[in-house]
Amino acid sequence: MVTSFFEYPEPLQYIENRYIPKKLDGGDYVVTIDDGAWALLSKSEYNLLKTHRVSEDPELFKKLENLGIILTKSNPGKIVDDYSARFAHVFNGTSLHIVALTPRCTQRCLYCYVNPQPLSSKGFDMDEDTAKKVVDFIFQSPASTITIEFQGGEPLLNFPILQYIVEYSKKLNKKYKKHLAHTVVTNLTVMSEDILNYLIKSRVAICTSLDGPKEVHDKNRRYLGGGGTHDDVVHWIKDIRTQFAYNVHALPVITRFSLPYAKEIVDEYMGLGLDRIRIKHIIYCGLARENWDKIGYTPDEYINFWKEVLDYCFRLNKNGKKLLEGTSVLIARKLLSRDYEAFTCLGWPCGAALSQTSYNYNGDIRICDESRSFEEFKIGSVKSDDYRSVYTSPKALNAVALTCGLNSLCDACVWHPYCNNCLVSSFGQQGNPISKLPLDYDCKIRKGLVDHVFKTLVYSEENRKILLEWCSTKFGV
Amino acid sequence: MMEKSSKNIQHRKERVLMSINPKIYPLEVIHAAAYSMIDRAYVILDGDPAEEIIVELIPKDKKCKKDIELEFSNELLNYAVYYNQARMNKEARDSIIKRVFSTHDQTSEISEEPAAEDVEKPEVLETVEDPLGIAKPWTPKNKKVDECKE
Repeated sequence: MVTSFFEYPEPLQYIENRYIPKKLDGGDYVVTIDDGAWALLSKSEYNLLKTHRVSEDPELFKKLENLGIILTKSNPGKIVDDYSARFAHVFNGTSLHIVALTPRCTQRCLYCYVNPQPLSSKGFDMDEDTAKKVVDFIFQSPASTITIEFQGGEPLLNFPILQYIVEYSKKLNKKYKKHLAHTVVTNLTVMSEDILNYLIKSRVAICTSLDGPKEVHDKNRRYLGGGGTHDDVVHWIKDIRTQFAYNVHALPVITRFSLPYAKEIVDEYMGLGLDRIRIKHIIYCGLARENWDKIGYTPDEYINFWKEVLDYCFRLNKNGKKLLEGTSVLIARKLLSRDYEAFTCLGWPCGAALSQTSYNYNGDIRICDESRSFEEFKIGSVKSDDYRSVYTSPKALNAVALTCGLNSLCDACVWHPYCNNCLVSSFGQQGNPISKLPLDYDCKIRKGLVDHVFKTLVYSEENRKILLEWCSTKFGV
Repeated sequence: MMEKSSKNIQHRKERVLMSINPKIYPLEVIHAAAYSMIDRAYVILDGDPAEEIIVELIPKDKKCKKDIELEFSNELLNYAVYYNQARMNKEARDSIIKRVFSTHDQTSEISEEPAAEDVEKPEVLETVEDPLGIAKPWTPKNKKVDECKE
């Protein structure tokens, strides 16, 4: 009798990808890898992974192989595709271009991240020559999608230049044929029917700030003369939506004054017929830094507030109302898909000097909008530099390197594929763009947000259903 | 050299001293573990990288002195595993990242036409003599390049 063991199957061969584990309260383990793939493992499954015995459980082997948590002969092609999709923003060029038309403003909000100038100030408005150079610079970007966002101060105080940029960019785009969009972020206090008609006719999207009911909003956002701005903002939100049948997006920025008003802030949005609310925390920049003692809070206080808002939104949805919370959607989308989620602040690396850039009224280029109050983050000028020289400069490349988190052990955190450290916030808080991560304010908040969304997705069937519904919404948050 | 307790740990007033064997935990691991503690303690490193590293932990909150050396020990192990794992699969990850970059064509800025000298010339392959006609392409004629990522 002939005997042979020639084709005796070998054990399944693999090596572990670099994964980061975290034990959850229930005893399960979550493991994540750099491209955002994750798995929730039981204790016994995690033991197999950490002792290199995944081959003993063929089903586990197949799942981890498919996710790229283990590397085998057959999955590198898929993992390369996953990385390419996840880090698309590294390759695509700058798509979000934020143009600060003027630092002059009608308001002096307690948390403004730039240093606003009084209305009567001279020499702070972008002129036509600079605006032309900004647009010419923008169109040097290889990105196929270009969004030009107008910011201030109050950008409508320099409305002629807004018009000039819209028209000139549209004219240039006849040649370049990119997907071109315009957005204005306005406090609405100098809005008029003429301006609004132009914005609607030119399809300029409108975003504003509404911090909640009058008693909260007017504490945070006041006219230079001292009066509250709530009534005017609400008037225009209603008018734009009803009289002009045009959409307006709003978001509340949270200060210490907002913390007792989670429910009321959501109700204010519901009452105005808005279908989304994205809660935003303050960062250590500009006036927020100066006013921190008055308006600041601890990361835990903010996370608890946000959870309260989220829970309330879930409850409303269970009762048939439709209102989504934007931060949870942004994070959930990153947890649910390998694709890059186009929100620059929760990228790894983030969008600073990569997928977004900011142009000051005088043509100075900064890594992102939030960095405008710090001269240290200037990476060039549209008056003297071209796109290539700016984005290959050591300053720009260092900024990108710093938000990769490799300098601060950010990449050793289980949640690193879904957020990152904000170097502008770190600089404001610690005086150094290289964050001391265990002490980093923004890191604590972001970690808390991702942790909670993850647990909601995996442990709360009812809320997961709502969150998935929110995530399927076609429009941005 | 520090006088050793059974666990190489000494408790002193408001601080804890630990002796770490650098042959068990390399400096990069000790640095990472020390760094991860800076929200809870002031950390002072001393000693000789060839012989012994002394770690001095001064809790920022005096109430948290208890178990701070155990927390530090766990961080040492955590980062030792992290660096070991990263070292073991470094080549595989490098290869993946290289392939990610090579699959993205770097388009230049649209407004600029590439200068003639910058235009990449097609690679001219050296002709290999094959009088017996045994040379065959590495991949079958109709197979897509995508399918051959290995």
